[in-house]
Amino acid sequence: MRISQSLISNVLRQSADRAAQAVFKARQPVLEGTSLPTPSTDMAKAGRANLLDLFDRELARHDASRINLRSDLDMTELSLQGIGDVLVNAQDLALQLASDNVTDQARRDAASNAQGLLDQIVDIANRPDARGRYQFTGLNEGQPPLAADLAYQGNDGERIVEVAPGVSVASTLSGRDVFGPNNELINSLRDLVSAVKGGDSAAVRATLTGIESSRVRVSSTLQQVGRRMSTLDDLGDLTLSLRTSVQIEQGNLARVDIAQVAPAIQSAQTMLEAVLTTSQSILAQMGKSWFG
Amino acid sequence: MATINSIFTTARSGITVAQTAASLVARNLANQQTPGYAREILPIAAALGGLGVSAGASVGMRATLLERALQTATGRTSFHESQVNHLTLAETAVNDLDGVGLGSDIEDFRTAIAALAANPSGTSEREQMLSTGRSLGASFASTRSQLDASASNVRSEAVSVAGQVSDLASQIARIDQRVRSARPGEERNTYVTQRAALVGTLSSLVDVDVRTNDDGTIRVSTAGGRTLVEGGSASRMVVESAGSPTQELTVSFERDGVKLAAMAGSQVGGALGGLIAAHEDTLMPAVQQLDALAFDFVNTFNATHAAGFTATGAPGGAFFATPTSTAGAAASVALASLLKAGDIAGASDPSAGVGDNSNLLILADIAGQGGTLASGTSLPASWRGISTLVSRALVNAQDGAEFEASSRDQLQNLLASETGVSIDEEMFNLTLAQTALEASSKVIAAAQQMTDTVLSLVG
Repeated sequence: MRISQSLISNVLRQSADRAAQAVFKARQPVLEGTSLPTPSTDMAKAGRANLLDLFDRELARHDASRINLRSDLDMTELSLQGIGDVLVNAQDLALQLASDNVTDQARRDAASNAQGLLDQIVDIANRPDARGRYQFTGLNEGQPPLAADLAYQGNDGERIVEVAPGVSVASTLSGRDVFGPNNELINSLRDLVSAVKGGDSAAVRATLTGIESSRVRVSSTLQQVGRRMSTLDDLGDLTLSLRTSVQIEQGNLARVDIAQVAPAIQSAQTMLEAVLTTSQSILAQMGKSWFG
Repeated sequence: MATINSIFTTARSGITVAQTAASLVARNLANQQTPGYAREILPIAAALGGLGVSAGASVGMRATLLERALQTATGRTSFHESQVNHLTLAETAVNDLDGVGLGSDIEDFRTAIAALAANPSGTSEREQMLSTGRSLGASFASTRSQLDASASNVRSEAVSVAGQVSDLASQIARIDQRVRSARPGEERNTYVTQRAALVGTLSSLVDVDVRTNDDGTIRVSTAGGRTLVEGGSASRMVVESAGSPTQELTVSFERDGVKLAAMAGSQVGGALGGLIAAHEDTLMPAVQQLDALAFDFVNTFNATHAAGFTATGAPGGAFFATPTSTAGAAASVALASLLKAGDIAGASDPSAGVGDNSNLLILADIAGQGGTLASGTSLPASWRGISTLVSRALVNAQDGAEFEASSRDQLQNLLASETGVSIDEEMFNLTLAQTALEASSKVIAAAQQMTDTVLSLVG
């Protein structure tokens, strides 16, 4: 190959350009603070990063839904426990007043206690949550489950909420699971109040079955709520571990690994210095050969 | 037998040629970095009658094949390089890696719908859905506007590059006329050098095919076969744009006031071809796909929303303002006029109660991965398709530019090796010329001595 001055200057310029570009490229992740500033930097990594970001957002959304639902279930559990406690008290009261040793007058005197228990249940059931929604109403959560005449005015609708990838749970509870298909819980307490007011021990005794089956129903519903809560807790553990993995992978994708970048920068800088030194040396030798 | 006079004639011719050779060395050295310059050599031959030497007109050592290959490589490199800058800007508009962009707003909107689905009677959740819907509309408009701005920059630059091509063609034609009438040697070589530099610049703007005619003039035609320069006259290249990102650019030629048929932009090559390719193959489809996506999404979402019921049991209406046509739909995505939080139709059953979220679940699906729009894909997937279209074009342009630049550099080096000036060679030629000059001087001195001797003998 014939060595012309244009060839030498071309080669020196091209080498210097390449070396300078290599230095810029090696330093870029440090300047940008990420090794993945744009999709064109690495299409596959960028696609993965976008999907991970979407997945992370989805998990965050599920976390929020789960936390809200868990809080709702906490309140439901408390309410059901409250209703259960009242039913136990009602059962105790009924057992006491069903005894033939209790006088009719004493039974009549206990009527206010029985009415108080019914009122407590209505009070617990018709209590709205912090967001103004009523429990035990199915989807009709804008109004209390028990009307003024204590008739059930909710429905059996279920609201499905996604709480983990591909996992949806019902976030509502129908009042029929608490009060019975035909409002048996309220009816049995009403019967108790009437029987107590009437001082009728046989009638009081007759309410025991209804109260007991209501208590069993409430207990069973409480277990159902407990299972939902347990599912949510399990899913919480699972999504926490998923989110951690996602965040680690996100970090790995975009993280600037100084241990990896530093040698690359060093090597590019050394290359640039070598090119510049060689260029100077070649130019000096050419000058010497021409002009002595 | 040689006479004294013929000895003088021979020596004088030697001195003349040596001087010419020395001045050629000076010109070569002075022009070693002049664009388009090819080292010149002096053809030396025995003078007629055998009396001394004569030098012909200096000849530029041009390597036509290499020059043509370099023009092609330069055109290809510029084709990719011209796309890189514009597509880099466009990529920022369709890039969600920084957590900002249409993709993020789509996900935020879906998240807001899902949050409302979890608490359908929540006032703040309803407001959030409206707010993220508004942001989604603004994001569609802003993304389209950024793509539109990139396309607009490309169009302006394409028009400007076409103007540069016309100017260069006309300069080449003017110089070509001078080449034809110039005396062979330095004068012609000077014009040829200027013309080569201009053709080099032209080849970076459009793909050109250069053929040299017998009289030293050239015919420059574009890759599509249209003549740009011929017979000392030039055509004018015109790029016309309708000013819309969704309409193609047209490339046409005018020669002597007559407009010739337009040619396909894909045939132009060079920086102009790259700009046209970026416009037609990437930015225009990206804008069109974004418009189609906005139109498709808004209509699908509105149809589902209208099929639902509000918390009060009233039938749902349009959530987004209904676009009139696909063209420009992305620029006009906005909430339906007078839409209020209470108008969100989250229920499928008007009598189910305020807790019914079944329509919201369908709406969340439409905005998410699982939803299927009329185009057969989901909103996020379609958006990723647009984003990938731009990024892939950018990656192709970057890779192409890197690859072609390496070919171009190699060809530049080969050409510089073949036709460039070597100072060592020129120093050698200068020494040769000096020696020839000294030799000729010595011949003259010897002839002078002979003349003196003869005259003294005669005298």
